[in-house]
Order: sequence, then C-alpha cells, then structure tokens
Amino acid sequence: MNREKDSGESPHPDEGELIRKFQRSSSMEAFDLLVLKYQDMVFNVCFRITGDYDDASDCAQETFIRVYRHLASFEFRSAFSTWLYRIAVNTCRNRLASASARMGKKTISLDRKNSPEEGGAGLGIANGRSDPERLYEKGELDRAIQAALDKLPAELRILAVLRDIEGKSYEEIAAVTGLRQGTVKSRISRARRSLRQELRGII
Amino acid sequence: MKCRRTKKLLEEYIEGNLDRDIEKDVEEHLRSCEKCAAEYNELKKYRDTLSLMNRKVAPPDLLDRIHGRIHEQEEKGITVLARRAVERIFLPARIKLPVEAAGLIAVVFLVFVLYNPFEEVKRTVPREGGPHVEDTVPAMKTKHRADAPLVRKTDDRKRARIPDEEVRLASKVAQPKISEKKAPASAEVAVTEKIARSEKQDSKDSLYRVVLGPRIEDEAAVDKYAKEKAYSGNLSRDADSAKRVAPDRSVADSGSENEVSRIKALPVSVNMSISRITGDSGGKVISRKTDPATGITRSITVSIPSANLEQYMKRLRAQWPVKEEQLPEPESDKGTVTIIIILPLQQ
Repeated sequence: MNREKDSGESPHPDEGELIRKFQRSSSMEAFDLLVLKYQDMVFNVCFRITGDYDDASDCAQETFIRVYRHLASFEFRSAFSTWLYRIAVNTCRNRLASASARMGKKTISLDRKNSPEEGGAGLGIANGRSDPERLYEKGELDRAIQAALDKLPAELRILAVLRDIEGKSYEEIAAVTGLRQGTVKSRISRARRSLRQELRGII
Repeated sequence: MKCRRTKKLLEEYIEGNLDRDIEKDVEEHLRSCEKCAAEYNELKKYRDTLSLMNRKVAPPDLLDRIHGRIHEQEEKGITVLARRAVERIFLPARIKLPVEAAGLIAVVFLVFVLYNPFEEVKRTVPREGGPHVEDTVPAMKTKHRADAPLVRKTDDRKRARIPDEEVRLASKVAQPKISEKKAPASAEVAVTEKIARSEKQDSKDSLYRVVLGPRIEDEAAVDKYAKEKAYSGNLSRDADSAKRVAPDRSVADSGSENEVSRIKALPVSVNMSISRITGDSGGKVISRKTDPATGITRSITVSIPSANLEQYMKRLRAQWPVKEEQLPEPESDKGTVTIIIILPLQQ
C-alpha cells in the first residue's frame, strides 16, 4: 500500500523542468506549480510532526519560502521530494524546539491525552484554534493516532511519520534525516512499539 | 523458527523485505503460533491504519500566504539591508561623532579665524596695484613720505646703530664702479634703505623718492629711433630719443632684424634710460629692485650730485610723467642725493 502511495506521489515528469525554469528566470509561475504539486504532502508531514493545524500551516509556508530562497542552488543531487522533505522536517524540528511551540504543545498534550477517553468532545480546539479535521466522521481515530504520535519524542515521531504515514523507504528517510539506515530502522522500530502501546485497544 | 526470532522478522515480513525461504519460515511459524499471529495481526493493523490515515489537505490559501510572506520578507529584507547599511555607515560615526565633530569644529574655527584676516589682506593689497613689489612700495611710501619727519626722528637712534660694515658697503656702493651683481630684491631694498640712512648719518644726504608714471611717448620714440636707425645704421648718442630708447650699445648693435622688437622691450629701455641719464648727470645707480615674478625692474635707487639734481629731474620729467616726488630743498647743492625711482607698472 505504501508503495502504491509512493507511486501516486511520484514526481511529475515536468518537475525538473519547473525547477530549471525557476532557476533560469526566477519564474514565479514555475514556483507556484511546484507549491501546488507538493503543498498537501508538505502540509501533511508538517501536521503529523507538529500535531497542530496552524503550526503545520506556518511550517508548510516556511518550507516553501525556504524552497523559494534556495531552489536556485538546487543541484538535483537528490530527488526534489527528498530535498523538500528534508526542508519540511527541519522546519518542523526547529518549530518544535522553539519555546512557543513547547508551550503550545503542552496545551495540546493535556487536552488530547483525555480526548480519546472522553469521546473526542472538544478535541482539536485545545488552543482555541479551528481544526477542520474535527468535521470528519472518522476523525476520532485519526486524532487518537496523532495524540500517540505527539507523545513520541520529536526525532522518533519524525521517523514514524516518514515511514508509517508517508511510506518513505529507509534509504530515503536516511537521506532526509541524515541518519544511517540502521539507525533509522532501529528508531522506527522503537517508535512503533511506543505507538502500538499507546494505540492498544483503539486500533 | 522460534517466537523471538519471528517477532524480530515481523516488520521486515510485512514490508516484504525478507528472502523467500525466511519468509516461508515466518509464515509457517505464524500458522502454528497464535501469540505470534496475534502480534502479526496487531502490527499489520497498525501499519495499515497509519498508512491509511486521512491525509491532511493544505489550507486553500497556502499559496497566497506563501506569496505574502515572500513579498513581506523581501521588503523586510530590503529594509533590513538598508538599515544595516545605514547602521554600518552611521553606527561607527555615532560612536566617533562627538570626537570627530569636536575636531571638525575646531578645524573649521581655526580655518575661519586664521584665513579670514588673510583673505581681507589679499583683497585689499591687490587693489593698491601690485603683487610683490607693490606690497612693499606703499609701505615705503607712507614711511618716507607722509610720516617722513616723524619716522626720521624716532629712527635716528636705530639708524645710529647700523654696523660699520653696512656703512662701508654703502660708501662702496657709492663708488663709481657699481657692482651690478644681482641680489635678492628684498635684500637690495634693505641695503638701499640702510645705505640711504647711513649716508644721511654720515653726510647731509637724504633718501628721496620719485614715482614715475607710464611713458606716453614710448611708441613715438620707438618709431623715431627705428627711423633714425634705418637711415644712419648707427645709434645717435646725441639724440635724446635715442638715449631714451636705445641706451645700451649691446642692444643697439645687435642684428637689425630684431632690433625694433628689442627696442620695444621697453622695460629694458626704461631701466637703461635711467642708467644713462643718471650717468650723464654725474650720478650712479646704486641698486635695482626687480619683481621676481615678472622680471621687470620696479625701482632704481640712484645717487645724484645735489648740484645736478635739477637737471636730472628735468630729464626724467622729459621722458616720464612724474606722479610723485619727494626731493630736497633746492638750496642744498652740496653732497649727493639718493633717490628711489619707482618705475611705472606699465613700462
């Protein structure tokens, strides 16, 4: 299934051309097409890592702004998606490390810790923020999983998101995170054990 | 295959990364072990659930926000760059400004104080009509003309202290063979004045002044001389006009082609004419003062026997309008009279 997803998200043939066009002429149109193509992927990763819609939005914006700034120096040494994931992950990591994110996370964590047991009442508005996911019928499970993810340390969460949600290969995750594949595997295994522990009785 | 090993391989098995043989072993164990099968089912469910999680959709205004932030940051970047540039320029200046400002103010103040008076002098001096020579001439004028009696009286003591060498030099200068050797103009003036003073002390001579105006009949004289020269081929020493314009044989004997132009070099003529008139009157040229900038003789100090003074002045007046003159009383016919002849600017 993951492979199916991978094939579904594989870069379009014109991706390289869009990048080169931007590199040639700083074409805003090319940049916009790249954003539109990858915005959901980036936003999803950001949301799963940060656990917050607004934070994810900010991180996604920041990711693409970094892409805009540095795309001119992109040398195609890795896949654009790998490069994009790397930027997104680093952006989220920085945000999580920031003081404001830590304060925000406390509020989310306290709220979401109780939310699955309380039937999801008031979930997603822990910070008083709007969360469209709340509107979905199956959102409860999703929020349970997200709560379990939020409990993981950031580095494990990132790996779990990349592997189990985004379906990236160990090799690509190693490229994105800069870790060795063995380290990636062992950490992902650790993250899974923790997640399964959290989700026991829910899944 | 035992349960422990099977559990370790379950993740790889789900991901399809195991060799076919090992995969078969795992499958066989799962069929026989309920615990491991339950573990497998739980893990598979977990994997499927996470992979099938709702994928979040980016906010519809994400692209607009990105554009907004890029634009904002570019503006901010420009502002920041501009601010940094301004800071780079003015921040060090802000620290150094008090010291530099104080220094600058001090320099400006000094320049103002020092140069302003000079500028006034520079403005006034040229109006009096001369560069280097005229700077000194008006001073001499007032000293010797307007304040002459007072200055002489007050300066008597000082004059009495003039060393004997200078007196001897003065008497030497007053000898028939006058050294025409050029010395710096200022030194000449100083010597001249000292000579005059010492002579006044020793004898009853006085230093007098004659200021000549531009000679009007120069052109006529030149023409006349040129004509005479053309006819005779020789310089007629008897003719007054010849004396005026061609006093020097070296000049007169030179090639006829450039003779007129030489004659027209009137500064030489004036200088030499005065020399000749002075010699004719039994006097001597003591010194000449030359403008170092132009090379034109500005003043000639001559010593004339008092008896011939009237004749001398008559001949001078015949050639140049005498603008000012300060001369001794006619009754003093004994001794010599030292006169500074100030030559006209346009000779």
